[in-house]
Amino acid sequence: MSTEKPVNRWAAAGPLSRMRELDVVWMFVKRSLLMQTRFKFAYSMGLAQTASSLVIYGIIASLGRSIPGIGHLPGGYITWVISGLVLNLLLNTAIAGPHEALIDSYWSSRLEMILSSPLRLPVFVTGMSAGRYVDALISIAIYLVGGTIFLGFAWPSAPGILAFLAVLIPAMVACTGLGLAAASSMYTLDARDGEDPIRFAVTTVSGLVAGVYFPLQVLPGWVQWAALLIPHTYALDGIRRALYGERAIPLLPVHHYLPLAPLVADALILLIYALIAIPLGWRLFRYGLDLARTDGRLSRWL
Amino acid sequence: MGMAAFEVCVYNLTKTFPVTPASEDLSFTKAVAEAVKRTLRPPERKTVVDGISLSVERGEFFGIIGSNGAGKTTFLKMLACLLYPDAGGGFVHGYDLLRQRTDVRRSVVVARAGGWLGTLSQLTGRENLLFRAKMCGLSRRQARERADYVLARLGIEHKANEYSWNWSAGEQQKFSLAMTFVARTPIVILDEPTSHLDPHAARTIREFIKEELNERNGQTVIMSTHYLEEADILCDRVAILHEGRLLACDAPFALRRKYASEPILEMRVSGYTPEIGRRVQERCGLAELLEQFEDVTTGQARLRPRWPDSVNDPNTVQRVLEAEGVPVTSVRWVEPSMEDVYFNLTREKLR
Repeated sequence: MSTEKPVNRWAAAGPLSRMRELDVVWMFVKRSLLMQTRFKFAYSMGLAQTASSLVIYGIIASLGRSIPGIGHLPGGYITWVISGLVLNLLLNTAIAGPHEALIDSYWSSRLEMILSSPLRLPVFVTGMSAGRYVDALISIAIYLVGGTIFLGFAWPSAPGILAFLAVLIPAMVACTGLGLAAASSMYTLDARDGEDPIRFAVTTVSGLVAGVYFPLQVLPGWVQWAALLIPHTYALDGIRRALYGERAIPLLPVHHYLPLAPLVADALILLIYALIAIPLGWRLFRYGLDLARTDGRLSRWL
Repeated sequence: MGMAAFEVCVYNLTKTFPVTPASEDLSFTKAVAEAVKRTLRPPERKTVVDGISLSVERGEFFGIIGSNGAGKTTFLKMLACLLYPDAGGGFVHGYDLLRQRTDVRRSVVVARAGGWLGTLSQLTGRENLLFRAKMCGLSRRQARERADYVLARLGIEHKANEYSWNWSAGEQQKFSLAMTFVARTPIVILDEPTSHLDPHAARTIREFIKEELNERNGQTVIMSTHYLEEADILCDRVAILHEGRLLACDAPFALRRKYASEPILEMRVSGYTPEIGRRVQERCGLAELLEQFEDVTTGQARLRPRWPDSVNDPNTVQRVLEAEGVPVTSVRWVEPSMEDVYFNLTREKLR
């Protein structure tokens, strides 16, 4: 070499400290908010759309008073549907988060840059998903505030809210596991363009049969059994039991076979689901990225 | 940790990619049959990087040149563990390329060619840079200081609070590079950093890479480029890739001495067109007539005729050119450049 070079002042970056990682997650949240609110009109329209869906539920509630199965729900239809929507939003965000983190970064040509930074993979996934949770929380706030003020949403007691969290947390962990598996399909099933098959299946099935919009028990028997494959069903059942009392909620088919209180059974099934789904989903997620690094599909261009 | 003398040391690095054959105009039945065949049969593979072994010293400015599809980007991606090799291995900053991938990734920062890559259009330039800096482990204060410094050095601080849709293509590329330069890593990998930039912007970037990153910070720079003069000026050593293979790797002066030691005949002409060039090449029996236009509208160009053997006959070429209505304004013998090295080496391979 021709010239004298100085000693390299910069060593390889080590792993980020936990505080720095939290700071990065916070940056992701702020970035997500900045990005969403940059186009104010489109953002306002999205919020208005969420608010307007409350009107539809209000109409269904007034029309459905005489319909068996809907007219006599504990807490009333509005309370039923809003608690279902809140849960569905959170669970679908848990499922969609990892996939959207990956696909957004892929299509904005930033995935390689992120994956070649010292950021740990779980921090990247958490950060990107955290932004989506903020979005979901804003919608939830609209449902709860609007539902309480205009439609008579019945708030649960404090123990009810604690039981709610006991079901919600394993349910969200289980759904995150499914979300990681769904994200891996981007590379394992080459689903880089459009909806990923796992997320599509779960969110579609959950919307139809898990009991968000109407009770599971009004559906045919085989559909009730199919609904037992997804965590949403147990989560919705458990949460409504937690919020509005055990006795008022009809049993799921699986409850007849377990010698446990339905709420405990729901929480236990969700916990087992989470314990299986998280390591499996994470392995699939890592496998998908490794596959992409092997065959050169990590970025849009080689 | 091993291989302390080298920042990068790779051996027999090889990468193949599946090749999707182009569909012909098929009937529906044939298209279905073709789709089934493609799904069931493993695709043919093309070797993109073919057994490259080389090393880069700590603090070295290392260049990689080669035509489109030579394997430069694939090779650089493998160094950053963004792509896993099919065969071979090596060490990057002392970490095993195959077994310590996370450590390798923490040792390098990569900038891809293409101005808009990496920045988010919904964020301002400064927001993009701060986000990137924090992702690379800098504290809030360090991130701000580093971002401001890089913005000022690249001359884009006046655009820092604007969104990317207000930037020109060159500014976008500068911001994209700035995203790389805010990171603090021992190795900087740059894939054609000055492509799409105007001469002034390209010089700014070159100066920053050379003076700031390489000479002041002591960072090892590995840079691919299509600009052979750029490689000649900046790089301590240059590797020439062709069709995935390493043809040569040495200091620019050593490459010139080895592969282009003879002076080269250069003719300046006006009123030249490529069509005339083809006729001249045919009539004079030239192996090649390299042309470099200085002004396309007036046909002002520099021509470098090459004969198939060592017998040079510039007078005949001059006569034929003038007979074609192309006046020769000067004839001179010039020292060979990296371009000559590159053409000599790749021509041998093409033969």
